[in-house]
Amino acid sequence: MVLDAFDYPIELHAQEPGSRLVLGDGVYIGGGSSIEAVVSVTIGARSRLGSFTKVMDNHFHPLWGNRHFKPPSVPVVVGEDVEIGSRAILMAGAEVGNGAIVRAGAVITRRARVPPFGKAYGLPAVVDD
Amino acid sequence: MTDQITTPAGTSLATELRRVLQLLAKDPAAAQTRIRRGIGVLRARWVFRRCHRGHLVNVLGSVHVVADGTVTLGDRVQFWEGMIPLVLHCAKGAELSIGTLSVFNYGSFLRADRSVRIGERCMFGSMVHIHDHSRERTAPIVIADDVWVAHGAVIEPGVTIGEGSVVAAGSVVTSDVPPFSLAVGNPAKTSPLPAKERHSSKNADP
Repeated sequence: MVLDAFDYPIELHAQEPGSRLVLGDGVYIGGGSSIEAVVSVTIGARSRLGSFTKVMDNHFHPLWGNRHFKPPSVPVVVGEDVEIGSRAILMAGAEVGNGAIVRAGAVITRRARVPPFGKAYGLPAVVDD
Repeated sequence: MTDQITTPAGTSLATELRRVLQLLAKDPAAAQTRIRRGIGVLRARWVFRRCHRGHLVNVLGSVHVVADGTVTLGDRVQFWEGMIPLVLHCAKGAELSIGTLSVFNYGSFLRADRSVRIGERCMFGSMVHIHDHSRERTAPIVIADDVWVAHGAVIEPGVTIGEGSVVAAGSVVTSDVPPFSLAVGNPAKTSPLPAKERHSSKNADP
């Protein structure tokens, strides 16, 4: 496992007691990345995250009502051998299949499920099989 | 503006220290939070020493400030702690104002070459980029009250964001956003938020 915090620090944050943040074997994480787990974030073996990526399983504020209320979390699952580009954002409920590619700057939400060996790019994300 | 050192409770430093020591025996976690906040308030006094700042501005993380123009901060503006410092740059003759109770996460970049105005109770996620100057144009940015700008969003010069709007993570806002709408995409497209989704943080705890 390589956490490349040479230029910018990396934030791995399991926020509450019982939060699970699982990094598989041989995972590479680029500088400036931030992974925040309130319930569960899983990164499969040999996946690569570029620099300044953000992975979070909670939106932390609701779109309506009291904005200081934290909405429920949805686990994020990233498969094995996944390539995630720089500045990509994986939001609550994101699922990325084994061997998939998430291009730089893409934003993956629970609506855009990336199948195994699929490709995703853009905002809102476009997914190619 | 530069009066004697007071603390979040508005008491003198000695009273506050005594109170924190008492609290430390009873509830160490609460005392720790109080100390952290107190240090943040004192830090804000130093960091924003050349700015017009309101009551209890709080700097919890590291903030780089260049205040050559007029920087105005409302009461209880907060700058949160994180891994990358926040940059607040106001060029000579420019105006940068931030409303009461607005909150900034780490790593944001705010630069005013003419005018950037941010309303009250706004929330800014990490790594947000706001700059009112590009090679093509320099135009003021106006962000109204209760706006939530999520992680990694970029706001381009001349953009006005209406009250209660939300800018989604990673979006690039190139045109105006009407009040109570959601801006998503690169370039951002806006869609109205349903009436029930309008947030009402006015009565919420800060």
